[in-house]
Amino acid sequence: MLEIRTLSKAYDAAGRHGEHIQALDSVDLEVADGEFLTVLGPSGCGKTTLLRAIAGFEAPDAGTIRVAGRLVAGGSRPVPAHERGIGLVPQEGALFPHLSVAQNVAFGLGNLKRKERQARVAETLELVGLAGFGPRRPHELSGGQQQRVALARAIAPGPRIILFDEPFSALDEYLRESLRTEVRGLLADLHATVMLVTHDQEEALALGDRVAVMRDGRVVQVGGPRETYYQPVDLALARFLGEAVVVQGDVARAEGQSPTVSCAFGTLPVAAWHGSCGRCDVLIRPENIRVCRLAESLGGPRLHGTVGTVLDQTFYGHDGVVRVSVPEIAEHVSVRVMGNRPFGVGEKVELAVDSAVCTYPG
Amino acid sequence: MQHALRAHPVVTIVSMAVGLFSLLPFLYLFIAGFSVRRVHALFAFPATLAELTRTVGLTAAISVCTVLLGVGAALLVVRSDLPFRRVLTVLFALPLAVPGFVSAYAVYSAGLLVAPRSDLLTSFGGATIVISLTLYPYVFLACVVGARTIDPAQEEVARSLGARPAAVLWRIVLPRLRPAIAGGVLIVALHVLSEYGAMVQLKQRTLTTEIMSQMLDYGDYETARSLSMLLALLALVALVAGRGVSGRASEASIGAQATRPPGTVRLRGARLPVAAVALAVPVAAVGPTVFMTVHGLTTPHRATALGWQQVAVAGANTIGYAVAAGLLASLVGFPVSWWISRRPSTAATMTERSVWLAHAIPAAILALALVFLATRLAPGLYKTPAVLIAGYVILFLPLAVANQRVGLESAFVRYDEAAAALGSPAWRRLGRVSLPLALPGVATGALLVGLDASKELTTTLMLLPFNTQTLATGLWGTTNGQSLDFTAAAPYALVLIALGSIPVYLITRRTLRYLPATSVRPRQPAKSTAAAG
Repeated sequence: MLEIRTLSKAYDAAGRHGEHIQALDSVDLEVADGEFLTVLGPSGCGKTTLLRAIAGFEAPDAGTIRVAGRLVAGGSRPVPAHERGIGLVPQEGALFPHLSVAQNVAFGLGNLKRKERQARVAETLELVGLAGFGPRRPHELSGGQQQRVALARAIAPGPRIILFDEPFSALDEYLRESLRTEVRGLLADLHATVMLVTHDQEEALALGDRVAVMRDGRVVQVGGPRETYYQPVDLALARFLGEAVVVQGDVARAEGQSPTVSCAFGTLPVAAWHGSCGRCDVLIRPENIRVCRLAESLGGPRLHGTVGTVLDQTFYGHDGVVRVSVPEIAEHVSVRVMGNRPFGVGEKVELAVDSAVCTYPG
Repeated sequence: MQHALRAHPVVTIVSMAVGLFSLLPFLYLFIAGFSVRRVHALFAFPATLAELTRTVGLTAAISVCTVLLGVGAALLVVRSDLPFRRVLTVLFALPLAVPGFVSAYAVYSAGLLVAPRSDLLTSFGGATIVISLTLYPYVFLACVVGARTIDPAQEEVARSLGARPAAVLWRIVLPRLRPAIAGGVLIVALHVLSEYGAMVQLKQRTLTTEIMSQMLDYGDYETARSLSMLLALLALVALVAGRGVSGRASEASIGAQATRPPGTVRLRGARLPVAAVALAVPVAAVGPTVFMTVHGLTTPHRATALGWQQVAVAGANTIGYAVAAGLLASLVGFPVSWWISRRPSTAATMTERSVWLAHAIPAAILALALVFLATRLAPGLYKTPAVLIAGYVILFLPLAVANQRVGLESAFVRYDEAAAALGSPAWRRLGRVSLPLALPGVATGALLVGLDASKELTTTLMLLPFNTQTLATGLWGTTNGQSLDFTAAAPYALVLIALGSIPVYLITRRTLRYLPATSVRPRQPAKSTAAAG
C-alpha cells in the first residue's frame, strides 16, 4: 500500500550556515494493506520528517514514495498533500477551533451530498464513541475526546492510509492506555492501513503489527514487536527498547548444532547471533531471569545459575525490580519479579536465565 | 531547498509589488533630489539644531512616558484585582479615538480658559505629558495581550527560587513583555517623529514642523526633502532600537503549553485608591477634549454659528475614506502577511521591512511624493480620492500587516496541514481554515487603519480633493480662527470622537478576552516565600 524507497532529506542546521542535518538518510520502508506499522525513535531521529514527507508537507531531496502503486513523491511532479488521500491524526489533534465537532469531521467530505455527509459524520462519531457530540466546540472537549474527533475526522473520508503523529503523548497515562487499545481495535475492524510514529517504546510495541526503529535518519530495524524487543540489532537499541542486562560471554558452536554462549549464568542457547565466535556481550531481559532465595533453592530444585546479593527492590504494583550484585558481573543485575515477592536487602539469592539470549560482538 | 507547500508565485509577485509601492516616497526623494549641503547650511542656524535636539528629546521622553503608562496600566488590568477592570480597560484605550492635534488643541484652549498666563502646557515637559497621554494606548494594548500570555509557571519557579515579587516583575515579567513593549513603543516613536498638528498647537518646533513650514511658508521643497531624509534617518534609528528592545525572547518549553491564567496581585485596601489613580490617566487624556467639546457646544458666547450640515458632510467623507483605506490596506497587506508568516524567506523579510520603512518618513513627504508622482505620471489622478486613499494605505499598511501576522500566527500551520490531509486544495484551505482563524487579526488591522486614516491630518490636508473636507481638516481649519476657544472646533471634535470610539471599542473588546475572569481568584503565593526572598 505504502512503499518508500531510498528516501532522503537534509536540513540546514539552524544558525550554523552550511551545516546539514540528515533528517532522513536513504530510508526504505513498506506498509502492507491493512497493516499497522509503528515507527519508533527518539526525538530528532527523523520519524516526524518521514511522516510529513508521506503526508506531502515536506518534499524529499531524493527517493520515492508510492501510495497504492501511484508515485506521489520523487516523480517529475509531486502530488500535493490534498490529492494524496492520506489521513492524518496530528499531535494534540489540531481540531479546527472555529468549527464544531461535526463540521470538523465533515471537513474532508466536501464531495458528498448534504444528507450523505451528515450520515457519514454521525456514523463516524458513533464509531469513535462520541455520538451526539456533533454540535460541540473543540475547546469544550477533554483531551481524549479531542483525539477521538481528530481520528473521526481522519477516517471519515476513507483514506488509503492513516498517519498518526504521536497521537496519545499529550494524554495522561490511564487514558492513553485505554484509548490506545480502543483505537487499535477500531482500526483493525476497519481494516485500515496505519502508520504511527512515536517515541514511546511501550506504545510502539503494543500497537504495531510491525515496528520500524529509526535512529539518526535511518531505519535500523523492522520487524514484529516480539522480535524487535528480544532480538534487537545492537545493544544500544536493546537498551532503548527496555531494561537490559548485559554480561560478558563466550560464543561457541559445535558442528551441526545451534550456538551456545557461556557466561556468568552458565551455558545458554543463543537465539540471535551477531558477530563471530569468541568473546561477546550477552543481552538478557530482566523478565527472563528467575530468582529465588538461596535458602529455598537449597531445599528445592536448583536453578543452575549464579549466586548474588540483593541490593534493593523497587515496587511498581503489578511487579517489581530487584537489583542484585553478582561477583562475576560488573554491572548490577536487574530482575523482574512479581510484586508480591518481597526480598530483603543483603539476602543471598540464586539467579538463572530461562530463555535463549542474543549475543553481540564484545 | 524545495518546500512542498511553497509560496504561490502570485503571492510572491503581489507582495513584492506592494513592497515596491510602499517605497514610492523614497523613490520620490531620490528622483526629486535632496541636498546634504542644504541641510548642513541649515544647521548654521542655532534654531535648526535646537529643533533636532527637541525632536530627539521629545521622542525619547514620550517613549519613556508611554512605556511607563502603558505597561503600568496593562499590568494593573491583567495582573491585579483592580475593581472595574473591564471598564478601565476600555477607558485606558479610549485616547486612541482622539487625534493628537485635537487633544493638544483642546488642552491648549482649556489652558487659556483656566490659566491664561501659564506657559506650562507649551513647555517641553507639558508637551511630553500631553502627547504621551494620547499615544500610550499603543503600548497598553500590546502589553495587555503580552502580559496575559506569560506562563505563570515561570513566575512560580522564580518565586520558589527566592525572588521577591518586585524581582519577579523585573526579571521575569518585564523581559517577557519586551516584544510587546517594543512593538508599541515603535509605533509611538514614529508617531512623535512625524507629528505635526499637536506640535504646532503645543508650540513645539520639531523637524516635522520645520519641514512643513519650509513647504507651506517658503515653498522650499528641496530643503523640505533634505530635512525629510534626516527625519527618515531618525525613524530608522527608532526601527533598529525597536529590534534591540524586543530582543530574542524565544520560548523553550517541554510538552504542551500551559494555558493557565497568570496569578493576580491582591491590592487589598489599596484597591479603590489605585483605581482612582488609574482612572486619572484616561480622564487626563480625554478629559480636556470632552470638556472643551461640551463647553464649545453649550457656550452662549460663540463667534461662529454651528455648521452642522458641513460637519455632517465632512463626517460622511471621513467615514468613506476610512472604510476605503481600511479595506484596501487589508487587501493589499494580506499577501505580504501571508508570505512572511507562512513562507519566511529573505525576500519576504525585505518586503515586510520596506512596508515598515514607508511608515518611517513623515506623512508630509509621503503626501508630497504622491503629489509629485501623480502630477507627472497620472495628472488625471491628482487631487482625486484615489491618491488620498493610496497615501493612507502606504502610511498605515504596517498596522494592517502587523495585526494580520498576529492573526495568521494564531492560525497555526498544523490546521492548514490537517486540512490538506483531508483533501482540501490551497484556495479552499485559505477560505475555510486560515482566513477564518486569522480574521480577528485582519479585522483589528483594518479597524486601526481606518481609525488612523480618520485621524490623519497632514496627508489629508495635502491630498484631499478640492472643495471637500473631512472632520480632521475641518477641525484644523478652525484652529486658525481669531478665537482659540475651541467653540468652532467642538462639533467636528464631537463627531470625530464619536466615530473614533466605535473602532476603539471594537479593538478593545477583543483585548478584554485577555483579562482574567472576575470570579476567579487564584491563590495568593504564600507570604513566607516573599519573606524568605
